[in-house]
Amino acid sequence: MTIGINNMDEATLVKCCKDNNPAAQKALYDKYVEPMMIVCLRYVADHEDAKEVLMDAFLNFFKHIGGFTYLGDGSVRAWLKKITVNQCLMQLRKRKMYYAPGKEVEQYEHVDTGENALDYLNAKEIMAMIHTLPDGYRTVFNLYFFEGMNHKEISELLGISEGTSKSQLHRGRALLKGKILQTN
Amino acid sequence: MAPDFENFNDRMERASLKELMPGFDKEAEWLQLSHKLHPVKKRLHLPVWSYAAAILLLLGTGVLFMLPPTTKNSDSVARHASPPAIVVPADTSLNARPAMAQADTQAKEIKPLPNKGLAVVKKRIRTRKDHGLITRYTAKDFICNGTPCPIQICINQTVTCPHTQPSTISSSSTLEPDQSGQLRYKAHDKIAKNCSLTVNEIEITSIATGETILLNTNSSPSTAQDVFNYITGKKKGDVLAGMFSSDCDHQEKKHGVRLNNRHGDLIIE
Repeated sequence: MTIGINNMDEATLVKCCKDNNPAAQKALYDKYVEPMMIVCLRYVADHEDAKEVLMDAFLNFFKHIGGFTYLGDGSVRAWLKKITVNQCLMQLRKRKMYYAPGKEVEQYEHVDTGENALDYLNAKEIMAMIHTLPDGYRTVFNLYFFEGMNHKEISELLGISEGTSKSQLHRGRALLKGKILQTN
Repeated sequence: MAPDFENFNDRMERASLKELMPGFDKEAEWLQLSHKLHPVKKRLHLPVWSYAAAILLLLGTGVLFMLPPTTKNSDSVARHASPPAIVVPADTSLNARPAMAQADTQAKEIKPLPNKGLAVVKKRIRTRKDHGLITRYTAKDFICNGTPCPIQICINQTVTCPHTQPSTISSSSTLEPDQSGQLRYKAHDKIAKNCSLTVNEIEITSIATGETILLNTNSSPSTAQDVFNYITGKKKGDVLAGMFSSDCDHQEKKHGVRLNNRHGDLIIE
């Protein structure tokens, strides 16, 4: 009795990918390509650059899958997302990511945007708002709000101080609030 | 997580890529990724005409070698292959050695290639081993000089081959009195199959007196070819080559020179 690739569970797909099985690789690619592309778009605004990052991320994923240990549902996604984020950061480092000072955000620091204003934003609008942020703000904002990292982890990952991480997040968040207020 | 942006993550997780990036073609991206994951060994793709050109070139080269030689080529070969005829005059000195003219004339050897009609001129540098080569291309029949005088016999022959000018070969042998010696000449079986060999002249010289019997196609009582037939053994018996008017003591004493192979060995009487 043979089982088709599409009917295989993720553990079996990972095992087949370790044997460099193209069908299993395609199955995992199909499953995760869209969420990973969204991750890339959050960090890298340019679509072509984002696609290049996605390609490198999947290449690294399949290249190093031999050393991956399947730990149950969600482990593949988490590992792939980690690879993708790292690839995005590498891309930003290539472009000399700049941590911009944010004097102008002080005016929004204590602005209350209200719950309703944020609740009405859809994914496309959120993405557009994020893309308006400078690289440094956007990166820290992504790592803090979307990847769930704390400032210590962010500082270690980006090679900056915790204070810089905090200030970048604070200014980025304030800038976004101001833009949302202006939009509304 | 800050309460004001905490649900951003949930909304982005539920988002569709079509909404965020409508032009994204995941199959096209997969093709690129697949090629990087499983690179195909590159083959050298040459256009069809290049294969055809190569085949035509090979055929053309082959046909060129199969063609018969052009007139220009023939002339060139003939010029190299046909040295001027060498006539060796009779040497009257007692210490004279056999003339080596034949070695010189054979220094350039014409070797027609079978089925190709091309003659190859093979230049040869004369070395000590040339004696061996002369021996190989020249018959060495033994002849017994039964006269009391030293005799030199020179045989001039012509080899005629297709597409080339005739070439002359001269072979001389000195025979001491009452001794056996080698008689050199070009034998029929030592020339190419499509070539012909004719005997032009045979000179029989009494070294002591310098008197020469010249045999050619018009001589009598025997022609050069008649005597040659007895030398090669084609005819059995004896033949009168000519007359010497004096013996080696310069005494007026006519005596005939006869070649006899009646008993197997060739003897000059």
